[in-house]
Amino acid sequence: MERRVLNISNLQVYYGAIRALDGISLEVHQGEIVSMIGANGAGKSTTIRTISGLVRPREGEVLYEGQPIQRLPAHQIVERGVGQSPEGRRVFANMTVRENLELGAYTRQKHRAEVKEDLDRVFQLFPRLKERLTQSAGTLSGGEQQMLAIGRALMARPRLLLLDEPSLGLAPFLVQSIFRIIRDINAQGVTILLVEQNAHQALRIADRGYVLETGRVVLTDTAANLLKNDMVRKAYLGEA
Amino acid sequence: MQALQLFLQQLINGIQTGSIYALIAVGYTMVYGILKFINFAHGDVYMVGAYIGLFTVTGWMAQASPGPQSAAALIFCMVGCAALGAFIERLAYRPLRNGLQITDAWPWALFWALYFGLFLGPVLEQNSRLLSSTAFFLVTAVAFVALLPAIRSLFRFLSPRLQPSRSRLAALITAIGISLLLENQGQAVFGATPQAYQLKGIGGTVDLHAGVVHVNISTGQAIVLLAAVVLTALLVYIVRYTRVGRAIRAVSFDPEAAALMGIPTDRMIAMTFILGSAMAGAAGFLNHALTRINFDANVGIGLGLKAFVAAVLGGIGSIEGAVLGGLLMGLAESYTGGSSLSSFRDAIAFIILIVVLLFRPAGLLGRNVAEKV
Amino acid sequence: MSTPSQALSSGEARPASTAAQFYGRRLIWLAVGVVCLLIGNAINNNLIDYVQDIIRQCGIAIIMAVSLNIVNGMTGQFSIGHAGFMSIGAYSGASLTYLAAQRMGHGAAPGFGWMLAAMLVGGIVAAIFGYIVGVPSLRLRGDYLAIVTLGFGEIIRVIFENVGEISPSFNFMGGATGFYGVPQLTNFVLVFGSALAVIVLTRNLKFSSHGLAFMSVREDEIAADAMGVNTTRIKVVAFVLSAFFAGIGGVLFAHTLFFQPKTFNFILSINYVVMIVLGGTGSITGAALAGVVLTALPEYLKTIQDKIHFKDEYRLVAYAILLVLMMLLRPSGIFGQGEISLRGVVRFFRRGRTPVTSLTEGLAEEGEQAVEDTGVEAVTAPPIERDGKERPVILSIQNLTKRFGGLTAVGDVNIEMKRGELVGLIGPNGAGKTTVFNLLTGVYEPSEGRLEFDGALLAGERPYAPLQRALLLAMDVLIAAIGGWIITTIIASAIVPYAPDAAAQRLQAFVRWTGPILGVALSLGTALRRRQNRPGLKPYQFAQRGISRTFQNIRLFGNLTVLENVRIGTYLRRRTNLFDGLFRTRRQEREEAASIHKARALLARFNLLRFEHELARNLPYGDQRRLEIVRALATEPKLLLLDEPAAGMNPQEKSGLMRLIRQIRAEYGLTVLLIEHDMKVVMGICERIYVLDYGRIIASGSPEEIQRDPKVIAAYLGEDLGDADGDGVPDGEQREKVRE
Repeated sequence: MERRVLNISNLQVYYGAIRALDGISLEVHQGEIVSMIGANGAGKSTTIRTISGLVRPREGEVLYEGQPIQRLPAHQIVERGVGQSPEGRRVFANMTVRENLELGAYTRQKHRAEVKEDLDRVFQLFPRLKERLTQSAGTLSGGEQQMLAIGRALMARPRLLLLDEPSLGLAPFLVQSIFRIIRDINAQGVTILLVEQNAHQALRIADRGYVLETGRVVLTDTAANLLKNDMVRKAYLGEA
Repeated sequence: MQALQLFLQQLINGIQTGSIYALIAVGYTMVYGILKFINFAHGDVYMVGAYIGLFTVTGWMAQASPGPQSAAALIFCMVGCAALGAFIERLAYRPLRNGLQITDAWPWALFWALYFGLFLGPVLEQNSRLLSSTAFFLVTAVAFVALLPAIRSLFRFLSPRLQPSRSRLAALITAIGISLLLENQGQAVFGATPQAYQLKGIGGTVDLHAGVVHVNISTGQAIVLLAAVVLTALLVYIVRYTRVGRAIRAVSFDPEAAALMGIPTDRMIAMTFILGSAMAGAAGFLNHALTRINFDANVGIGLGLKAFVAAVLGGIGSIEGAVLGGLLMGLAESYTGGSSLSSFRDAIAFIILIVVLLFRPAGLLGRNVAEKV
Repeated sequence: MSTPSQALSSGEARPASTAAQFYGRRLIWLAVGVVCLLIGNAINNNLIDYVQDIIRQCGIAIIMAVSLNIVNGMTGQFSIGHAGFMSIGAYSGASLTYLAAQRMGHGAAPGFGWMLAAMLVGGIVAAIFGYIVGVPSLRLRGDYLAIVTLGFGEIIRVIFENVGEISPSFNFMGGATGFYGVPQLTNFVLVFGSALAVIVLTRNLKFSSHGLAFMSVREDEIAADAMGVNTTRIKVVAFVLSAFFAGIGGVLFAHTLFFQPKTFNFILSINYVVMIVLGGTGSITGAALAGVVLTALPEYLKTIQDKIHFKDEYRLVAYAILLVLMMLLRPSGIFGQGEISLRGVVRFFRRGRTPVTSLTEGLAEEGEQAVEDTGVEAVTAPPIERDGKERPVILSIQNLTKRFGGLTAVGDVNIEMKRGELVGLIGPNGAGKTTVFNLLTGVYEPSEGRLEFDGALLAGERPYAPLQRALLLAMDVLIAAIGGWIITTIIASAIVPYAPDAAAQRLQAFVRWTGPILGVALSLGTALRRRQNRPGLKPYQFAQRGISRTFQNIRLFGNLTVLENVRIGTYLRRRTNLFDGLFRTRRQEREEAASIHKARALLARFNLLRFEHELARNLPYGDQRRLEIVRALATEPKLLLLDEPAAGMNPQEKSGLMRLIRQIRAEYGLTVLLIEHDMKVVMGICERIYVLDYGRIIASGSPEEIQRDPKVIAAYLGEDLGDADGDGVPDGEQREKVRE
């Protein structure tokens, strides 16, 4: 039986009086790619942000490797091995690419040698970043910034990587390569929870998927089945 | 050649005042950069620095020789003010930012316990043979232990009923509250009479000659300048090149993204207060110990205001800008003060500021970020 | 072809009150006010002097706090120099009565008339300074503006402290020592009459359409501008109005208590800011109550303190701690944004509700003709009919170019749209689509090119008439000469100690002349070029001429209700002015009833009426997008620009949206330009499509033509994927490999 890396049960999150999550439960197993799809406002990003500690749930539990983490501050969750590339990339535009990557390794200051290795690993995935190492991150193109955001998250050696809309605002041909890289990262042993607008792409690289609507999980299955599912095809893949 | 002499003399005076402004301004600029509000209490941290200097030099270490005395005073001021700055942040700004939590109980317990010490300490002292400081600490410690559980349960009750405030206005009012608290508590404890002191053995002046022109630099002025340069260089180094400095800049740019890098944002904000307050403490000591300027518990209001204006002038958020703004303001005040418009000395800072802002809305070194549509 | 207002005029407007009702109500309120004042006066006169003093202080604090609230609370600007305006009012008003008293000689005191004149003068002088301070606010935002107001307050203080140095004839003001001999002319009725007047006027304003415009500036300046609100004007007006009231407060203060420049220091300004924050920013009730409490409480504490022999400082220590605790426990102030109203109080006792009213409370519950749900249904509407006759051109842009620094965001774009057309603008991210929208709405001024809309040139070279140009030039030169003279005269007088005596005089004379000469030369140099063409039109002028838009990232006025959001859209078609708003004239009442009716009808049409009193930010995402469209429609546009309206909608919502766009176009005779990523939407409803890539139009034509165009396919649709990641394998193949 596969080990559960992440196990979320009955998560309820409110923004003021508005309920953003209405009892989300989901699980992610070791080595999987799991995709969350759904319309804007369905609660995908909120789920991600709750896992990484940016949002506090009113109720429910987030178990990471068996330990409850829903009350921990964000930085401790990172220390435990949950990395995130946030929606909209959020790179530190006023710093160089190198500084951004070094900040990604903030929690791993005691393992200098490993950080060096990780840097090489990131350059292998994103050769472009190596060329731009001393450039200010704000001058990178959208695609390069996305690479930097993912690379930065990898620098913390996460065992679970949360990706929030990695394809957002990228030209179609770039979307392709980002998804290929996500697959590569997964092949290196990182478990991935992916949130995507681009439902088609997200399901095609995923093992399993969850469909969210108005703060609830309305459907879950293997990605292959979801791609075939009538409701999903109609609502999210834009097929009549 | 008297005119040239006057000109040079004012230059030196201006740089000296300016470097004090700069030391205070960096604290304003750093806190603004990270929390986006004007920390009005910063000027009062300077005031506390001045008093710590006074007590060290005339009290605890009155017998020491000048070297160790001034070194110790500078360190006491910086450490004391850093602690004060961090405590203020922990007591008021963090609960305001994150919402009141049970973990915020200890600063408040300590806060009230200090008042018990302040009021009941003398009573205990009278009725026993304890030293006043021992009595104070004893009462404070007992009160702290007694208060902590009570405040914890109060906060446990309040915490779920309160929302964190993103209002910068609320932060500003809180800062004003802390500022009023420090000023009036300071006056209650230190008295209303203005104080002045001077380090031993720095009364001398250096006479610089160049032909017929000669300018006086007091030893005090020279030390102020040197110390200011060293301290700002140190600060710039920390912020630019160290891990902590990088983390502070990251939090300042995007707190959430920084948290996702595993950076403890609250600790970095506290770190910012510690660095800025240490600089203000140093300024409080340097300005008063070396130049014999009078001060009382309200000294931080005016000086703090001008230092803040210096920070805005240079471009708030930028440490280099704060230093530049401080120097410019010091010079402008010094030259106006020496001219026939000397009575308008206090207005010149603001006039320059307004003119500069009209042409560079983000200050001299600030970057103007246009809002994206 | 009908405009939205015509289309909506089918519904009945709420009957406005008759003249008799209207004036009757006014008279009753006036009588109530006068009676209250007289009763208050009678009580007041039986109190000891010390208490009477405090009561008058409270009244003045009310005026100051409520007036500051106009700038800080309603308009969302940030002034911390309010005491500066107060001191200007105090000094100018006091000078008037003081000089009058001097002239009258001993014994005689100037009468009530002089006091009223002093209040008027004080208010007007302060208002003039409010204008001067308000103008920088056009350039500065947030805390920078705050610092300028603070600086202004401090400069004023220093000037009054050294007023004798400017001219000995001002010596009577006393400089730093204070203004002695001002007759004590205030009384309870005067202070509280003024306070009541300020409260009533401010309240009228807040609840009027003009007040909504003020608040729209607070909520989102860019969106307000796009809805036709002249944001720069509103900000200046807010400063002027607030300064006028503060000036009156200053005059009242000057005739109550002894004052000196230090009285009106930074601490006092901060005090007023504290009042409005404690009361609840934006709440008039809160500001007034906080003004009273924070003035009276310290005095009350003083009496306690005298009894228990505590150090005086501890009174302020307690105040400071209370302030901090208050911000921790209730950071939005006591009242938040709400107000106490009679109606609210009555309802509170009847139903046990909180006595805080919403802005639009009391509207008649009109018939809600729920129009069919446009949200979640499949598209069934017939395809667009294309009538044979040629439609007139409404929008024509030629060679439009926008450069940022060296970067050309949009280059040489030509677009032509016929009246009633539905055109799409597509292209990859960063191609410059939103930049084109910003050019079309006046957010950016084009670097080159022309923009003609509905027969008028909106952007491009718009030269001045020769006479106009000459006049403007003359004005520029005059201002520069005077300004230069003032500056160099000051420098010249400051220079003296730094130059030896003989040289100083020559230097002074020289410096004094350089100013005007340099000023004239510089101003001529720049103005000759600058005054060639009229300045570009502002976004609100684009909106007035009939171009309205929605935003890619929704920009609603989040803290206003849904209905209020739409009413701000109707604001630019107003016929009333600010005075109608302040005095709530019949004209204002009628117009507002009509505007509310129109807004509700539009909301009903879009099935949003059920949310009318909901705050806009609490709406679901899709409804927010539709509300943005409603708000844009309320401005009665001829051309509607939609920036990614389908973003974040699911397929059903998208279908609903497509049908909606078709319907509103047909109903209101709109021309629509649409930016959209969703090809289904674009191809489904657009008659013609322009494709933008790297800031240039690479193709245009019917959806079918665009879909076949190889250039478009290469740039955008991405069938030919190329090898973007540089690993030697074309991406198209990689995609297939991933599947394996």
